[in-house]
Amino acid sequence: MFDVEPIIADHKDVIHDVVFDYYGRRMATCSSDQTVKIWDEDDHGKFNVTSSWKAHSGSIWRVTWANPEFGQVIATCSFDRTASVWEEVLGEKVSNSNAYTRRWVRRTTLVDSRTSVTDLEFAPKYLGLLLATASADGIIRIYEAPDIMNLSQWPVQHDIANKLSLSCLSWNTSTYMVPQLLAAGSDEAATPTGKVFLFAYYENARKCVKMETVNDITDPVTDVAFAPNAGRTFHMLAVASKDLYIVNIRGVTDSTGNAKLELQTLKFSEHNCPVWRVCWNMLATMLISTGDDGCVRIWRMNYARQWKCAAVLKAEGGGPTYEPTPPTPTMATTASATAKFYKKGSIGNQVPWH
Amino acid sequence: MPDEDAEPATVSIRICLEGHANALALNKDHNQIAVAGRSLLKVYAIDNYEFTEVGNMRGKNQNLSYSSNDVAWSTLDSNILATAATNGVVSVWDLSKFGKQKQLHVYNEHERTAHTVTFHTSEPILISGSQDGTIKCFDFRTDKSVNTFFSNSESVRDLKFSPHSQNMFSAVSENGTVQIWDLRKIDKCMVQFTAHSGPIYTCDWHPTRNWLATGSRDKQIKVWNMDARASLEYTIHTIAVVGRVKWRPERTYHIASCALSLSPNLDFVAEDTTNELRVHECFIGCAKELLLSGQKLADLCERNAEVSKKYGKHNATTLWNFIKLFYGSNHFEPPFEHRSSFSNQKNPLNARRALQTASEELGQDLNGDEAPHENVADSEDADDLGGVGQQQPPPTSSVILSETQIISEITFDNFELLRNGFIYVGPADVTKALAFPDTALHHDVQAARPQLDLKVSDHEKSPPPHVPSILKVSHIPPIRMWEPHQFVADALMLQNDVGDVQTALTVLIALGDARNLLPLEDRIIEHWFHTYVDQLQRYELWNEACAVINRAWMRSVRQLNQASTVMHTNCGECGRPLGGNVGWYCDKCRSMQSAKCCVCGLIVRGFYAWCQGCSHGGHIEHLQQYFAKHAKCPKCGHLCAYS
Repeated sequence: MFDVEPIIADHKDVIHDVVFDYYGRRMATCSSDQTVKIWDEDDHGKFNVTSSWKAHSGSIWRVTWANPEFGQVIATCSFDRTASVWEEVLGEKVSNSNAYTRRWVRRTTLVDSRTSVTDLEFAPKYLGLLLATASADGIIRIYEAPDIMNLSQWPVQHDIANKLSLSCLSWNTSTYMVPQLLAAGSDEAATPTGKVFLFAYYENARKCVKMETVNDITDPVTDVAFAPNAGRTFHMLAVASKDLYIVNIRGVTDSTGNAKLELQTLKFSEHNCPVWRVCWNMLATMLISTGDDGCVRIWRMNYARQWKCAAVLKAEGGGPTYEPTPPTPTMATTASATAKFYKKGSIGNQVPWH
Repeated sequence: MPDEDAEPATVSIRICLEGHANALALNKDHNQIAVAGRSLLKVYAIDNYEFTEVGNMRGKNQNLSYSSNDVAWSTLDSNILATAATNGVVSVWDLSKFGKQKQLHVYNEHERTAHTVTFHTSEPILISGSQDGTIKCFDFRTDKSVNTFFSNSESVRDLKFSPHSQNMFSAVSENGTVQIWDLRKIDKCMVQFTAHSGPIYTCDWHPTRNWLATGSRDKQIKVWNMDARASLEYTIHTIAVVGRVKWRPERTYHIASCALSLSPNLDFVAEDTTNELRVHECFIGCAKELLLSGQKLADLCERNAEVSKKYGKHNATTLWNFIKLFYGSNHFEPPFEHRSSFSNQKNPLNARRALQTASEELGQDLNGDEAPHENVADSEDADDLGGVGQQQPPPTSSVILSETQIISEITFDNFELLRNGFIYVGPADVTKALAFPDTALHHDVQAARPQLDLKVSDHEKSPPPHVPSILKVSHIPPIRMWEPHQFVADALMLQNDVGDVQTALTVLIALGDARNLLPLEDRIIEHWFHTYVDQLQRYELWNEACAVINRAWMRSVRQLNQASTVMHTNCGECGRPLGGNVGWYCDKCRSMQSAKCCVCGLIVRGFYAWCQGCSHGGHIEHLQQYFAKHAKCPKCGHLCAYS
C-alpha cells in the first residue's frame, strides 16, 4: 500500500521540516545544517533538488510556502532569532533549452524577535500576504506585506505577548466562521496549565486577541495543525503533545451577541509516546501523526464521526522496515505483498465494538 | 468519545449458549443463523436487537450424542441444513419437518471426523471433507454418497465452492496444500499447490474476484489469485492461529478472520486500507466523472451512483440511490408552485406527496387499504397538516403503509448495505464475525418511521360502519409526517463531516430546484462551494472548477469566475491602449492592423497570441513556428523572448 521511497536529502544535519507547496508539486526542506533545499517533481513523480542555499546562521526550524498567487515565495525561521522571506526569480536563459536558471533571493529578514523563532506560517490568501511568527519568548508577531509586488517591506501589524514560550502555530484556513482563528502551542514543561491558545484575527478591525485556551491539554505541545477547509461547519485542530489530540472547534454566538468558541477535545493514546508532528491531507479526510515510537500513523474519520487509526507505517533506520516475509515454499512473492494488510481493530468478548 | 452512543454504526447482539459453539452459518436471507457445536445445534432468528430461538435439533427425543464441527445452510432451500460431526457423520436436516423427521439423512460414510460441509450454489448437492483425507459428494435427494474424491492428504479441513465457476471447489488440508477440484472429474484434482508451511484450517473465495484466501496455523492469511496458476496477492500476518476467514461482501479489500485458540478475545477484523487511502485518485476521478446536470435527475443519480461505486464510495452510492428514489420521479422535478409560500423546512403536504409519489412508483396499491379516512377528518388532528387536510382528507394510514413499503423496498434492494453490524455469537473457540458495510442509513430510516399508536377504547365518537366491533379506534394521535428533506440534509452534512464535500455538493447541484426543499443554510452551501472550488483548483482541475462555479446559484460564488479577467491590449501601430474599443480597432490609426497576424498577414480568428512588450502578435501556431527559430519579433525586431 505504501510504496515508500526514501529520498536522500543530503542535508548535513537533522531535517526539521518538510513542506509541500499549494499544488504538491514542489517541496521545501530545512535543516540544522543551516540550509534550505527546494525540490521539484519531475515527470516521473520524483523529487529533485533544484535549489539549495545557506539561509541562516543557526538551525532552521520551519519553512512555509506562500499561496502561489503571490509568486514562488517561502519563509524560514531559525534559532538565529530571525525569520526570512525568500522569492524565486528567473535568471538568464539556459542555452539550447526553454528553461531559465532559478535563484532564490532573500527579500527581507525579520529581526524583531529576541529569542529563537520557532514557527511561522502564511495566512490564508484572502487575508493578503500575511505572515505570523511564534518565538520562544512567547510573542506572536503578524507581519504584512502591503504591496505584494515589493516583498522587502514587512511591517509588524500585531504582536501578542504570552506568558509561555511558544513552539508552534497554525492558521485556520476556513472561511466559514468569522473571526479568523490562529492557534499556537507551547512546549513549556514547567507549568500545569493549558498549552494550546486560540487567537482571533479581525481583519476589518485590524486587531488580534486571545480568545480561548484549551485547558484539556497541559503537556508540552510540539505541533498544532488546523485541518484544511473542507466544508465542515466546525474546525478541527490537531495537536501533537504527549498524546495526539483533535480539538473540534465550533463557533457560537452567546445571548449577548458575542462570538464564543465551543471546544471538544478528543485524545488518542495509540502512539504510547510523545507525538512530534501532525499533518492533514488536502481534503482533510486523513490526519498523519509521527511519534517517538518511529511510527507514522494515519487517522481517518468513519461515518460515525469518530477518528480511527487506519494504518501504521514503521520507518526506522532510514528505510521502511515491514515485518519480514518468511519465504513461501513454492510461490514467488512480491516484496510488497506483506505490507498490504493492517489490523484494523479487535473485537473483544466483553467490549461492544462501538 | 462522547457521542459514541448517539449513532451506533454497528450493533452487537449477544446470546449465551449452553454448549460449545464450533460453527455458525447464516441463511441466504441473512435473517436466521444456525449454531453448531458440542451437543448443540440451534437455529436463531435475528431480530432487530436480539436473537430468538426458532429451532433446536438437540431436543430430548433426538438423542444424538455426537457434536458438530461444521454447519452449512442450503442456498436452494431455506429449510435445509447440513452438519459435519466429529464421528464422521454428515447429517442433512429439514427445518420444515417435526421431531425425528427433521433429520432428513444421516450419511455415515467417513471413517474419521468430518471437518467441513458445504452446499453447491445451484444443485441439490453437498460435499464434506474429513480427517480420513476424502471428500464425499452427496445428493440430498438420495441417501448415499454420489462420489468420493481422494485428496491424498491426511486430512481435509475446509471446502468451498467457487462463486465463479459452477463445478469448481477448493479443498485445503493439514499438510498445507490447496487443491482445486472439478465436481465432474473425480480421479484427479485440477490444481494443487502448497500454500502454507503449516496446516491450513480455512479458505474462502472472494465474492467478485477470482481470489482465494487461506488461513493457517502459521498465523498467516494468504490471498491467492487463481486466474491462471495460483499466485500470491497478499500475505497478512496475524497474532494467532487463523481459525476462519471470511470476505466482507461489497468491499473488495476487507476480510475478517478469527483465531483458533481458547482465548476468546482474539478475533479481529483485518482490513486493507489501500482502497480507502487512495483518496487522490478517487477525488480526481469523481471530479471528472460525476455529472452535475444535463440529464433527468433519475439518470444523473443512477450514473453518479455507478461512478461512486467505481471509486469505492459505498455510502455515496447509497446516497445517490436514495436521492433517485425520492427526488427522481417526474412529479418532483417541476419547481413547486408553493415553494415560495411554504418555508422550505416544514412542508407536510410536499412531504406526503413525495411519499405517495414514491410509493406509486414502487407499485404500491393504495386502493386496497381499508383504513377509514373519516377517522382522521377530526379537525384537531388535521391541524398540523396545515389545514389542507380539511379539503382533501389525507389517506393517513395508507401513507404509513406506503412508507413502510418504501422502507422495505430500500431494505430489499440494498440489503447488503443496510444490514449493519457484527453478528457475534458465543464464547467459543471458533467464532465468525460477519461484517456488513457500514451505513448510517438504516438506523436513520428506522428512527424516522412514525409510530402509529392505535388506542383502543370503548367510548368512540362515530364508529365507521365497516370497522370490526372488537377493535374500536376512537382517536388516532397526530401523525408526524416523515419528510425526507431533513434526512437528506442530515445525510449531506454527514457526508461533509467525514470530508466528502464533493459528494455533498454534487448531490445539491444535481437536485436542481428540489434543493430548495432541503433545510440547509445558504451560508453552509456557499461555504461548500468555496471549499470544493478551492480543492479542485489545488488539484489543478480548472475546467471542473469552472463547471461548478457556473452552476452555482449564489452571486459570491459566480463572481469567482469573473475576477481578473480584464486584458489590456495596445495598438501594434501606434502603441496606444485599445481599451474600450471593439476588438482590435484602433481609434487613432483608424485601422484594424493589429487584428492581423504579423507572420502571415491575415486576420486572426480564434486564438490570438501577442507580446505584451511590443503589442505585435498573431496566430498562435504561426508564432510558435516562428519563435522556434527566431527570438525577435517578426514585425519590429523586439526581443519578445517567447517561451
